[in-house]
Amino acid sequence: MEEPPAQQSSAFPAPPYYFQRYSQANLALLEKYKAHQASASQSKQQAIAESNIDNASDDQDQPKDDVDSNSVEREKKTPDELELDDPELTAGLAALPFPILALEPPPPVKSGVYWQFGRPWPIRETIGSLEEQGCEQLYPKGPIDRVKELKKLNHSAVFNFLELVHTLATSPSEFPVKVDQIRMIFINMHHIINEYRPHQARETLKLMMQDQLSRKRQETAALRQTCEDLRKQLATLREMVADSTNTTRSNVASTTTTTTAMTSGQNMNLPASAIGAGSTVACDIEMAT
Amino acid sequence: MDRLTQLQDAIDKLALLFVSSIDHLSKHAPLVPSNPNIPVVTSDHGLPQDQLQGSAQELALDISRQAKELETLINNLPGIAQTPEDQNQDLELLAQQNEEARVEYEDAVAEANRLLQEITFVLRFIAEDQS
Repeated sequence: MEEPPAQQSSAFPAPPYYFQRYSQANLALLEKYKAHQASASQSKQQAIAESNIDNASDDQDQPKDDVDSNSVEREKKTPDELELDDPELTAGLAALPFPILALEPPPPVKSGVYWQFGRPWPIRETIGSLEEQGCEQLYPKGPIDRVKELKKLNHSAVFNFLELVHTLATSPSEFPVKVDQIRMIFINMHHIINEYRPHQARETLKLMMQDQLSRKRQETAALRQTCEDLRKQLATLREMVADSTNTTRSNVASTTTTTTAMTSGQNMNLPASAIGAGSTVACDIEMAT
Repeated sequence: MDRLTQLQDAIDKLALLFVSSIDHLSKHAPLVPSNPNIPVVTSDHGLPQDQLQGSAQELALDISRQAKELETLINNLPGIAQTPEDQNQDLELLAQQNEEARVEYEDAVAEANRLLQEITFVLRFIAEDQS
């Protein structure tokens, strides 16, 4: 707290080395640059469109050729001229020790390999890579009957173990060869099984999506059903109220008829049941949403 | 647990059995003279011969049992019925359907909320009149 934060003995990690690039002036420059790029691309598109039109109309009128070529040349110059329109922009950009777009976050990596925590990760996750991880492939290439190959590998694993035990009994110093062979067999087995994995992943995804779909549909149906029931109940309530007072007021005013019914004290059961039904109705809706 | 993981676990178990059986046998074996002229003197190392035979028998049985189990699991492997393209198509179709169902669900929820408001209004009215 007393020391400046760039010193070595700070308790907190230092900010990234480029944090000082984000000054107000630089940020304003970035905005201007982006606006300029947008207008430049627009005018470029216009120029391309107009030059296409000009080229199409070139064949028609020969005396107009000079005018056309002039206009095309002029429009070709416009992107460059825009640079000159704003010498502040170009001077400012040139003065920065870094490209102005470095202030934006970097665009996502589209091909090849990206680095994370010091390790390269491929963009497209390929499972197989054909045992190019440096192990020989004991089962034949191309489409194979996985079950048969796995069984063969299983038997050869046990058999190789037997040979290993024999080697250990007779000439123990030669065991690494057998151990490596057994290792290769196991790696092959695992590799065959790993080739099932993407298929399994997609199947699992499909199952999950189907499950979500059916749940959504069920919930929608249940909601709609509950709404229907409640509307019916509300309608019957209103009917009850309207019948009991025999007034010719509008629907909205039908709720006020409950007050007249209560004050008149004629039908004390009605408001109680109205309240009871209404509250169950509200609870039902709240449970459903 | 899914079959692929079971299968891979079984393979790993087999490898573990290999290792542990060799380890066990070599730990508990009696001493052997490296020079035929010099006999072995200490006799309290390792297990007696019949116990050793018995454990060797057990280990061999374990290994063969595990291998048999592995074979059964391999036999129960589901085949690959669909190509990746087929699966991707199915997934896209499902995604579309999910989207539609979501829209409908949101409609239903909005409707239910409206109804709820209506009913709370009615209830409040009734309650106010009661008091």
